[in-house]
Amino acid sequence: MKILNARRINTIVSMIGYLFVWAPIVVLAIFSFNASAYGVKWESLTIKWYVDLFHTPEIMQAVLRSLLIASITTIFATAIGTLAGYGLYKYKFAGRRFLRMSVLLPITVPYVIMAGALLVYFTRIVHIPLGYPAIIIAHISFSAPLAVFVTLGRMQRINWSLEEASVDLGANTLTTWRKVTIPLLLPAIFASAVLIFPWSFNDFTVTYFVAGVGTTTLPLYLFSMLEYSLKPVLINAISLIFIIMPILLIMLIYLSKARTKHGS
Amino acid sequence: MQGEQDNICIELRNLVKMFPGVTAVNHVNLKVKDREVFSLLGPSGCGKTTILRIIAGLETADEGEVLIGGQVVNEVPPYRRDCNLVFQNLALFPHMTIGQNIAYGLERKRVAKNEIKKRVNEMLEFMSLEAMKDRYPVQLSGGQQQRIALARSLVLKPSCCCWMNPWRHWTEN
Amino acid sequence: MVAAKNDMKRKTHLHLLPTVGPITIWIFFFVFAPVAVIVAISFFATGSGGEILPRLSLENYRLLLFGGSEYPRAVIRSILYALVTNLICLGIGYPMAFWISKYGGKFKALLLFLVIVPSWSCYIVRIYALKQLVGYPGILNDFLLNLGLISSPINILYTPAAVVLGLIYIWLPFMVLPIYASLEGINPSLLEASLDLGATPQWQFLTITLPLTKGGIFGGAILTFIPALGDWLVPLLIGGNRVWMAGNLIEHYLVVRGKIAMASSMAVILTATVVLLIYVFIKLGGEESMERIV
Repeated sequence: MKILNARRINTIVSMIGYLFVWAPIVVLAIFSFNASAYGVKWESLTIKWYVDLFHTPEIMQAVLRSLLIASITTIFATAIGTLAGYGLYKYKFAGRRFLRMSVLLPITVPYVIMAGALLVYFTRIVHIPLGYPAIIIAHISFSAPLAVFVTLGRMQRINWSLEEASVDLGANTLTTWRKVTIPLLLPAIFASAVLIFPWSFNDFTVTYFVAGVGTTTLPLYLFSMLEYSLKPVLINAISLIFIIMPILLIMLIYLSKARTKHGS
Repeated sequence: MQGEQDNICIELRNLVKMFPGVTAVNHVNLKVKDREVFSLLGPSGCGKTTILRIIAGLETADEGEVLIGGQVVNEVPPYRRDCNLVFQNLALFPHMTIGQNIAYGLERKRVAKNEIKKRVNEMLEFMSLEAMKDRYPVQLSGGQQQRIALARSLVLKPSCCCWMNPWRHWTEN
Repeated sequence: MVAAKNDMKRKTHLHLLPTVGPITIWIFFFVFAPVAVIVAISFFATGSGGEILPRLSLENYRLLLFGGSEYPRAVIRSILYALVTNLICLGIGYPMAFWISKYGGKFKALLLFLVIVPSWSCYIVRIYALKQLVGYPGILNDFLLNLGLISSPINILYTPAAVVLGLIYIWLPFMVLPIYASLEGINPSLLEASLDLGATPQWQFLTITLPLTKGGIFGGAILTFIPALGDWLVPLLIGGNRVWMAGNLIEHYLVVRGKIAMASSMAVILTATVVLLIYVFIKLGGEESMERIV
């Protein structure tokens, strides 16, 4: 009886946790189909806010900017991070531990500080123009570590004898990389990209500091709408984009997992 | 422990255990007397471990009865069964010292503090591992770890003690 | 032998350049250098207009710490909020991780995903969603008023409680993950052994499960504590500029007022606080708490 009670309490607390995490965004998603322009009272079902969304050029531009930044960031951060993860796992060298800890730095220091430091550095020291270059560089600094640790985690589960066999059979380094190593790393590359893309697309704090004037990404646009209380219902509609994206990504992961399982 | 020679300690009646796709234990009957050393032999995967786990209460039988000391214990949870296991992988608690590992079961039985201390020391002496009392399991060799696992069970003076794969760590010693 | 070893070494060096080379350069130029710059700037004097003067001084720190500035209070407030957030996240997150690990069965991965997915969504959207739900005017208030369950709206926005609620909402998933990982890392035979030795499930939890997940708990604590401590959007959007945390002051001095040296000193103080507190967490939680993060 007592066990059952402990279990029941455990279940109830967990359900509260799930409810707490999901309720706000689910309610928001539902209310984005609400016809009432201001508010919290349900009127009737409509998709007119979504139509409006597509007819607001600033929003469409912001979406394109965000997509562009996220794509470039994902390509570079994944490449740098995966290579580093591979090297950190494979080779023993002086300063390996130090490098591993250093990679953690940008994600352990509070975002405001790291982003603020980049702003000062870009404007006062190296004169990198705010806007696209600054945003992309900053995003890579923050997201390459994610790829490093995703790769490090995956490396342990990879059977490296294939790579050694390829070297034994006389394949040169480049061929080995192209034919064996990269295919082996593919799941790690994929997982990193899936993590980095939404991070970059969604990031507000870092972008806010280094965006300067004119490079309004979608989160920045959203923020300005909130600040000046513009068209609250449109905000609901935009929000749904942010909610649907991770769900789509998860379906992608599930599908790819099912495929690899099927393959083996 | 003081029971008469022909007392039945463990009895299994028509024991059946099925896992998806396999029948691990198929109508097993056996009786183990007090003070008897009884061995289950067989190729790996034939269900020896499953039988021991059912006796200890870590698995439930699909059919049949398990009796310990003449009582049907099918519904008794493992922590109230007078029967202890020595696990195949020994399962020493890594966050506790050797002394704490051995004392673990006694602490639950509300044995007085100095009594616990006395019995743990006796046990360590018996296994000639007194020097290891404050070490952690990882600092011991395989053979020493096995003796600790046995000590941890025996210190409770159970009416039966089931030992999985006893020779596994023996070669090292 | 020696030649072969040297050859190996040369080969390793040859491979290091294209693999860990890029990130080393990147980290040096775009992580270390910016941090070094603000540390350096924090020791320069500030002119009356906020410009940096070419003169070393501890003036910024003196002003911040002893000059009656609101910054120390903001830092203490941030630590308090982060600690409360941490404890509540632990109170909800541990049962969630335990529940998934124990009763999840073949849905474990899915259940874990369901905890993480919201955190992949945009930060601003999530805070806004929470505000829409629990604020006033808000959906929950409206709903309760209509049902007649409450007679006047409850407004929790712009209070410390609202800020803490927002912080929990944002950072809860990061508590669940490391605890779940450490729960899954427990060898099941240890749990069986404890039952076998007479531990009831409750006693087993206290003596085996809890100590063996200590690393996960402190790992989760670090993962939620740092971002909660440095957060500035939750207080800005839910606290309505009335409850400022350290991050808000840094942003305000840096972006709005352009007092770079002062903001840098603030950043250094906050970073030092974070490092000190992480050090305490790692001391308490052991090496494992560090491993659980990475």
